[in-house]
Amino acid sequence: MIAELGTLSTLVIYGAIASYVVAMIAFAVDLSGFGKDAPADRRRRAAGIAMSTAWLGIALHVGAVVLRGIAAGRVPWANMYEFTLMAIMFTVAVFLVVNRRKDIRYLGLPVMFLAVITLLVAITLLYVAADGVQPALQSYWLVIHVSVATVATGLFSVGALASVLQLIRHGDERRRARAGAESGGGADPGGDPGGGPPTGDGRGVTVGNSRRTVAAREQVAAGDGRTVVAVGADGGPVALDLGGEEPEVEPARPTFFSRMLDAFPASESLERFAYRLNAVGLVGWTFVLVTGAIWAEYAWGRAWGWDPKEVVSLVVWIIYAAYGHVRLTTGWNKRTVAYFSLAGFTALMFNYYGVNIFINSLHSYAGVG
Amino acid sequence: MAGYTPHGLRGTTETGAESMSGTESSNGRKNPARPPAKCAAAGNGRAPSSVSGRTKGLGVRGWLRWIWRQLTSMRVALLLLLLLAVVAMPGAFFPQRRVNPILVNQYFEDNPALAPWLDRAYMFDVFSSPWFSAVYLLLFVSLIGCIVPRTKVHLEALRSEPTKVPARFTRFPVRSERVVHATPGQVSVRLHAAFGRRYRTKLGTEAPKGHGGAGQAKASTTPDATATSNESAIRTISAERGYGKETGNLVFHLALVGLLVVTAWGQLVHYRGQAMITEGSTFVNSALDYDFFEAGALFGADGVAPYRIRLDEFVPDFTVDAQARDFTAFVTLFETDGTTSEQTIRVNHPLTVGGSRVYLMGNGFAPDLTITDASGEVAHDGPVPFIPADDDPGYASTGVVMVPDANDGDPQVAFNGSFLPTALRDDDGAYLGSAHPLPLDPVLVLQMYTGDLGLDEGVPRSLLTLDTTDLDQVTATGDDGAQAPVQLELAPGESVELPNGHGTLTFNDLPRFVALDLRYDPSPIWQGIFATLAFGGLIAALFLPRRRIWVRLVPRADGATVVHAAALARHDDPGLRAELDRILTALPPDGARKKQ
Ligand code: HEM
Repeated sequence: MIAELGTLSTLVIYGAIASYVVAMIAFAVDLSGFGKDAPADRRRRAAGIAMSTAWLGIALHVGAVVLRGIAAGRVPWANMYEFTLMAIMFTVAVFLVVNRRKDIRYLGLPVMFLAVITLLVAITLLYVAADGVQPALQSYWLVIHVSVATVATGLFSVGALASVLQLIRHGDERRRARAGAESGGGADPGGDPGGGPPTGDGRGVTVGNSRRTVAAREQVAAGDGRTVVAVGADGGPVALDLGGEEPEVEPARPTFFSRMLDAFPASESLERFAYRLNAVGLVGWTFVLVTGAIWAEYAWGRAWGWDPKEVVSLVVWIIYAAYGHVRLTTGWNKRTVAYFSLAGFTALMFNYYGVNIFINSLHSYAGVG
Repeated sequence: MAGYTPHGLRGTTETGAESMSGTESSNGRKNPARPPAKCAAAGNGRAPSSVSGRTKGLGVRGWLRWIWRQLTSMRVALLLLLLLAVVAMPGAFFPQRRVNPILVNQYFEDNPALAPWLDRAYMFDVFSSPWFSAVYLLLFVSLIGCIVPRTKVHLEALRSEPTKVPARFTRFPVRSERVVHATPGQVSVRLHAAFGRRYRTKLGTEAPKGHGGAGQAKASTTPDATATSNESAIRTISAERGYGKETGNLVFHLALVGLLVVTAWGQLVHYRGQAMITEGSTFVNSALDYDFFEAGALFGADGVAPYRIRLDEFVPDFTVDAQARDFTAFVTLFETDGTTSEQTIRVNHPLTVGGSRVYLMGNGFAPDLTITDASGEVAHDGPVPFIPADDDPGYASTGVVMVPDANDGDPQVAFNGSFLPTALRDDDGAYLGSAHPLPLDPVLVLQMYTGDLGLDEGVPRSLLTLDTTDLDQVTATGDDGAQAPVQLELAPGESVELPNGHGTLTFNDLPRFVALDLRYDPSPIWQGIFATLAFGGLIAALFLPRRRIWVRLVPRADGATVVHAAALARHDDPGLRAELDRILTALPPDGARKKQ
């Protein structure tokens, strides 16, 4: 009976993977149809399908995790297979939950891609049958410490994806600005068409015509004094271009790729989104370090013993802290900030796959050879 | 930040308001004349004369000051932070002596050419290496040098009033303007109420010289609708909230320093010991009774309370497929005040006695052996722990039995070999290992040696391996007539004659042993306190909004009031606009909005 539940859990995971694949394809269709010529209703229909299948996917995913917990008779995050399942579940959850507040469907394709790849790796390489755990793992600290680690991993993952998009977008904006300059337009890189600046703090901010807002901000920030921002009727700022020559960006030849990029918000907006996720992730990771130390104090008789897992977890934390410093206390440009975010994520992935598989560590939850 | 924080920040500084984001503010990259981003808050920088004249005539003090400035600059702090991550990484790749000395020895065996070089570079002692220490000490010096002045500035800010209302609002992207049919006094009362207690507010009036000349005529902290001054005066409100953000930031950084200090203190006064006890035997908490003992520099031997622990029984729980599920050591604790109590020690559940904690770190079997020598004298009597191999679920264990007293020391006798709880044999009867950790088919397999054990030289001997270089292995003539090493095989209750008339070996019983780690370290509670402070401070620093809102109420000839409002936040704050709108909804609804 119990063993069957474990098998059932695996089957349900296959179902979740299938849903994510469908969602991934639909998101791709949505993005590729985003060009100027695609009728608005058609391109968003694909996104609608994608969102429904993604929700279906995570429902199956949660179900599989719960079944796994019942089969093992404990919380379902005690070995590498389960941890992977959890971390990617939270990655998708972060995406879906944030999307309820603000439209981040443009992230759907990379998130689904990550989910599918990671789950396939988990099933094929990391799978172990559901079972009890060794004495050192029998602690409620397992519940707290490891679950928060998976949540933080989910946040950092989506944050890293946003940073990647931001970098791609940066390159694209620069190219357009150059093209614009050549055609005499004097394009403002911040003024590219795109989604609105994030309103993700949930305070119900409505921001008006975002394209213009970003442009206006840039101009105010640059102090050129041409643009004044006023309050629009909807409470959002509206840029009034006193100069009367809003630079119209005209990409030379819209390629498939450039049309896809149009679906993404401006790099600055992506950057802010990534920061918010990483900041919450950093708090989560701090919690992981602290609870890990407490648990180690009980289980191993020392709070901090420079076990490889502890070392790399600290390095992850340091990199994200440095990322925060760079962003908040220096005027370094946003590409540099994005590289810090990606460096943190790289360390996080190394901490997970690298340390568990290649390095002899007390953190033996890996359960793989 | 550079893109978001408006340029106007510098302007506000000029008009007396300190910059919202400190010196790290807005457009450092756009203005090369500004010094590298500093950590200290604005207004704290003393005249950098000695710094600017870097090339000549600095003198020692000038240099020291310059170095200090560099060290406490944000750029260097960042560099040190990243450097710390870099110098810590080798600690994950190479085995560390303090963590796992056995793996280090293994590494030396596997890489004999490379290992000594790595060792010279402290690769096996990364976390006590001079360069690691240098980096983290410098980082913390930088941190203190940065945070202490910032704390001072913040304490002053906490006591001082909100900043002056800037002369011009046009530089702030988040602002509003509307007309309200009420007097400035009435509007002022409404707005003051809308700010609520979260905001610290200051009310003022300006001479009606138009917007530009903001002559501060009067300031108070409570609004007064029936204003004394005539209704033609311009009223202002300066409101500020979120001092908690900076408080959190400072608490966080100071707590990190605290964490480091208490950890260092713990290292100085701690002690730690390891002991193996077999079922039925008692162990005394004293440095002498430990197999391994280590203490900090400030540790005093009289600090060790000599309580005793007797292991009554050790109960493991394994699944059928040999996986450990639970370990419990039932012990009797004899405390120094004479009280006796029954206790259990389990993994994750250490026993706390007299400020120290006793942890269950390992377990295994300790075959109880009696050995007589050639003359028939009992030369050894008692249990000998056999240590299970690290990753072997079947508990195949190795051990060494030394009998220095045999034959009055000439020759001494020793055995080494393995203990298999559930012996696995191949078809020829050779032992392959152990199939299960429970003693279902226990066998002790030993080789015998004679010679000088070298115990008098004071060199510590391993419990696991016997140094056989100066010993002779005992052999016997085999079936084929050749001399072959003797292998002794016994189950509990069995006794064998030792070859060549060396005496007898009896396997009496099979008690278990536990490895206990005892640690006294008073710092964890303090570490907990500082970690909690740091955690709370971090949350406050990252998520509390820090906002300033300024309002200027200009009376119009028709009795209405033109409300100018502007808001500024530290770092990006997507809720800023909504907040300003929220405050302004307190105004009478008939106030028509006016776009600028
Ligand atoms: C042990 C080393 C340090 C750690 C782990 C650390 C960590 C942090 C963290 C986690 C934050 C919150 C913002 C973020 O990074 O996401 C922060 C903010 C800050 N840190 Fe550090 N820090 C360290 C050293 C320093 C040093 C040496 C300085 C000064 C030279 C400094 C100055 C600041 C400042 C000014 C902020 C405030 C940013 C703002 O909100 O404006 N930190 N630090």
